[in-house]
Amino acid sequence: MTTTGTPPRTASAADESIAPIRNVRKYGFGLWLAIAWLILIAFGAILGPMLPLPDPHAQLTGAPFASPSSHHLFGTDLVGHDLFSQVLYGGRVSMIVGATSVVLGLLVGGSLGIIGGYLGGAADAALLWVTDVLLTFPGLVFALALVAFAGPSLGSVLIAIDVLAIPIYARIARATTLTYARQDFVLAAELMGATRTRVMVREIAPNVAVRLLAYAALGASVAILAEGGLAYLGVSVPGSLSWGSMIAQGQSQLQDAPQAAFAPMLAMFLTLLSLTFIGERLGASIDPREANVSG
Amino acid sequence: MRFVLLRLARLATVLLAVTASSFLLLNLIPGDPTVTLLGPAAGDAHAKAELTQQLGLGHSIPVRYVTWLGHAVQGDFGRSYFTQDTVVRSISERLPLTIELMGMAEVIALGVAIPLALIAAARANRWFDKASGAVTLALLGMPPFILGILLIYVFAVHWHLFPSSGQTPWFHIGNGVVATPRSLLLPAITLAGSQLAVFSRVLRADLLQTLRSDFILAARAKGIPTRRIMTHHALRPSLFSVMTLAVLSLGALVGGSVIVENIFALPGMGRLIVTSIFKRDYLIVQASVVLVAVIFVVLTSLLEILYVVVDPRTRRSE
Repeated sequence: MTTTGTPPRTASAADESIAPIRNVRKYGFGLWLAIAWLILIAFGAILGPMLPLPDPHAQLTGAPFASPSSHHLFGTDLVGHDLFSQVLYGGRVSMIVGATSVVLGLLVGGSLGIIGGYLGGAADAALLWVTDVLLTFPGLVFALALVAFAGPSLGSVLIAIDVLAIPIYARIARATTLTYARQDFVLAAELMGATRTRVMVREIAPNVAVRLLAYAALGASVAILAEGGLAYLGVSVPGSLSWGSMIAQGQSQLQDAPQAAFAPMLAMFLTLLSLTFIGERLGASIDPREANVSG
Repeated sequence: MRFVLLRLARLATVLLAVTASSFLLLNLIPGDPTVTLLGPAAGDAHAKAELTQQLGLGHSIPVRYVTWLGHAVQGDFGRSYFTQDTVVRSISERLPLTIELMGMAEVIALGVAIPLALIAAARANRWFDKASGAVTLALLGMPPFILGILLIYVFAVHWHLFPSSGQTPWFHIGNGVVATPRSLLLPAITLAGSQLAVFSRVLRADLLQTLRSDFILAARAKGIPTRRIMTHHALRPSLFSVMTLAVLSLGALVGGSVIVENIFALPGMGRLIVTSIFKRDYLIVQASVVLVAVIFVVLTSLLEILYVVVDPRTRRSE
């Protein structure tokens, strides 16, 4: 686990006014481990086809139910799939889902939030109402309905998950905009005759972006988790491997080949853990008040 | 009194909005239940038109919504397209188990998180605080389909202590089954996992905030022991965020129980929703979503009343 690598923290609660700066250095090791894991997974997902590995869909690449060995790093399942190769390929959907949700969240959610927060009035009321409705519903049920009804494909999975991700970015952007909208540098720009668009783009957006980027790691983990849930229930991208669907298949072999479930579980766990860890560190480094949230 | 009336009026408008938007969303998603119902016979245009007529799918969405709403306020949510059972009956068969599961999960989550946060905050940055911080961080990386299968492997496959799937009926409520707590323990822990982590981390942070206020300093100066300060002075004003989270996480709990009921093969609402979505049994999905939305809106309204009870500072003069 990445957390075991963190050096002991000696700072007391009293000196936490300077804690955020220290935390970045102090938790450097754990943070680097988390980042290294994500890079490793991304490279594996991209370079998978070039590596000398068995085809993830090929059966009987070795004896079925083989335990982990040098030939099969994670062992094989009941029909002899190479689990290491499968986990590597299974990361692809997760990476795509995580990345697109962050990009769309930042661009769409960010701009909607800034517009609502800065302009106020009807635009803001509409934004609040729509995000309220979207956040009220059990997200997974809607994603499931959308993907199942529209037919499982990479497109429908991405739409379902990204649409559900945007409201949170929009709300964070709105809240952050409200705290900056009345500050002196914004008033100064307004008094100098800057247009509303210019104020939003040049003065507010950079500040909101910092806050949104700090949430992005957590947002990506939420998106990856949602895709995992859909895949576990059997409605993700057909024909392509995903950690969630691998876990579902592995569950039925728990008795004979626990590695079939544990390999994708470990990969997903480390990915979610890394993203959560990075997200908390980023949050703590820009907001001293949040430094306390993480132990 | 005026406060209550205003609340009720808001409740009604929110419910109207929620039912209308969910009806619209579900119907905008492509997919035709008649194709699923007729199977290979869907090619027969005549049979298809007749069934469309029979199910009332021929009208426009607004007309269908108003018809549906008219029946719904009288307690008639229609019949399943497939089993011919009334929707109310299908749901009432499944609901008790899911409520039991969510209730157990919430009790476990709060029951573990509050003591954990109290001890961690009382000895901030000491070994217990760090250990609980590491454990809860790890739990955040474990969605139900990881935690649940881990628990099944350890407690059902390896040690045979708990059943790996299904439930043991305990008693009945109407036509719904309530399971024995023992048979629901693994699913409930699975559902509680990430809630517990979030609750204890948030409560710890809020407690540390509270512990810096003057009235805590005053209590310390009076020589009140730390244990009593934590439970009798610091806890109550720190419960705000956790209370809010506990209510707002209902949506997450519903999503979680969809997964958990599938992992453990429990015949609750979650499985009903999943199978109905796969079969395109709109009326059941629609009624389930409305049910969740109603409970959610009612709970958030209760929450605002609860705030006032817990923290007198929020009592505004009206």
